[in-house]
Amino acid sequence: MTASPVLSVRKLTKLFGDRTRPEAVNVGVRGVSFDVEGGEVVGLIGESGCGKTTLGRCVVGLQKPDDGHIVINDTDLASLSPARMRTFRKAVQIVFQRPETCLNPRMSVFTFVKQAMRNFDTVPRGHERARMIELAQLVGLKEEALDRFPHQLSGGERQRVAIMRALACEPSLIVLDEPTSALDVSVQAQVLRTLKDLQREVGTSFLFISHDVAVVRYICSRVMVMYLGVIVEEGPSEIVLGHPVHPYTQALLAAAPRITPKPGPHPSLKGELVLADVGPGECPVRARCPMAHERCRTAPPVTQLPEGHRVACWLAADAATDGPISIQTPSKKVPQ
Amino acid sequence: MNMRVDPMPTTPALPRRPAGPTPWRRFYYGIFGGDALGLAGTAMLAALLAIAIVGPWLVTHDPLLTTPQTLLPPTAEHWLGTDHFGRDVFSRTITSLRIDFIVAGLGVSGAILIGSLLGLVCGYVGGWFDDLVMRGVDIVQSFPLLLIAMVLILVMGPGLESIVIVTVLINIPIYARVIRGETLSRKTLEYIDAARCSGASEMSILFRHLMPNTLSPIIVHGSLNLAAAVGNVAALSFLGVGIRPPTPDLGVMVAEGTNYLVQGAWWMSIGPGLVLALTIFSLNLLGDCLEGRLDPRRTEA
Repeated sequence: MTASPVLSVRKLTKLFGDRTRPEAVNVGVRGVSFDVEGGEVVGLIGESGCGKTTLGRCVVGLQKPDDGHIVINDTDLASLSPARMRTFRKAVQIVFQRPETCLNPRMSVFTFVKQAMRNFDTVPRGHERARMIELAQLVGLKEEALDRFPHQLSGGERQRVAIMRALACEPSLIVLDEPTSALDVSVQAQVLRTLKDLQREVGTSFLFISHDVAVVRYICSRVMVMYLGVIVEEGPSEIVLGHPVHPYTQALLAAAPRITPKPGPHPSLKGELVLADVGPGECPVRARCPMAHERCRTAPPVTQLPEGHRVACWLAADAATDGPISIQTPSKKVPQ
Repeated sequence: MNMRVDPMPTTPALPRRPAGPTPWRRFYYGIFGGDALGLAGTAMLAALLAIAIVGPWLVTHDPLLTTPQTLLPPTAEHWLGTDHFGRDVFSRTITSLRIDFIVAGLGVSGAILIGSLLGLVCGYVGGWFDDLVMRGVDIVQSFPLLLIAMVLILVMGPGLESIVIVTVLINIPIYARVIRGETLSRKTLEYIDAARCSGASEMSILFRHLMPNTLSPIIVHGSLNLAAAVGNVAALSFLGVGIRPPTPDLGVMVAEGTNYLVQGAWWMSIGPGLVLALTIFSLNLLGDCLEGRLDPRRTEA
């Protein structure tokens, strides 16, 4: 690729410790690196509390990372002064999860979205209304909705307004933090369709955060799977979601309900995430991994597989050197 | 076993609606939510305010004019009698009401303005500024209100301005605390982050996004606080550190009247005392009504 990526994250770390339980592993994001190219839709999946939202908030500059770099359009966020940061926010926007609190209850939709246009000078003065009507059509809102207040809108409409606000900034990247998980299933489908059409039309890159495998499969071209602050598997969606290599991804996909269940045994994780079971420096999945073995006590290297498929697992590392991958045969288990 | 088909249950009839809304119903239920006491309080307060506003045209005598006819019982000439200087008690009561409303109103408005601003900035900025202001608020609140008011007035010297300033000072903590709490609970909401992402400046976040959403409790606190403030001004005057004679004040009049109660001059205190009680009572009724109407957690279905 010749063009530099829209978003480039290197060794991003942001941890939250629990002061009452200092022995437990800190939660958050630990040393995550990835790129998002222009016009790409990248999905980020993982269970609740694995650091997806923290990652998203760091990327849009709402949270300061402990360590690491976030480079957007060749500009490192850490190098910006607060004043420059304010104008730089134009480049990367976010859509939040909860439609109840994502809009200012005392502002009409028009006023709320107009601020973004004003602050970033994306629309010449006096033309805001015309542009707003355009945007409203793009996200599937009626023109009348522009003069309404949030309490007069449904959850789906509010989420469309939030998307509209992000678009009004004309960003190069939009972080969508579970934009549909709080909506009814029927509304969810409509909003997802809007997002997909929109992305094709506008060409903005999306970082789509979700815990719903089906949603990510529908909208994303590339997927990253996160567990306890680490990206365990990454690659094109049809590969990662079709032929997952990492035991965690396999378990995650097996747990997602499907209309025709796959025959055969389903790999699944043991128990629930217990932070106290995870030791420092080991593979974060080890405590729950059905295929864990002694080597997992040290963190596995990231193995590069064909077509940009990357996996952080010892089994994949073995397979890449030894020959074809055979995941379904668990290696010898070590009693814990 | 013989088969028996149950008839289809009929759809239960909807409960009959009350007759269509008359203007009175719309007023009573729509605005007061059927709260009779709230309506009574509002009506009483409106009457008292009206009296205070048109007071200068309502008085029958000059409230400061002393005459030789001292301690007259109520007559057709002097509706509430005269006091120990021969001044008309009715005229003085009405003038007092006006002065007390102005002093308490100014004091509470000032407290709302300064207190809300402090609370907003404290909640938003946090850190040492928040600690400093909140400890100051703690100190003010740790003294008995009347004691701190008396000391302050003695330091500043008596006068209407001092009473207004003292009312502002002792009421700032209420608003600073309430607004700080509201700000703390709202500053982490998504719409604040969204505004920040829209490139809003800190000032804009503070005053356009946070402030309008934190102000609703002020209406309730304001009306209850105004009742307390009217009482405080009267209490200070009663104790001799508030509004000074000869300026009429409800507290001063009650205080002066008590000296002549033993002589049987009951009319000197009863008029101003009743007006004072009614004012505070009506403001409290209104405050309770507003609290019920504006706080969704307290409204009955």
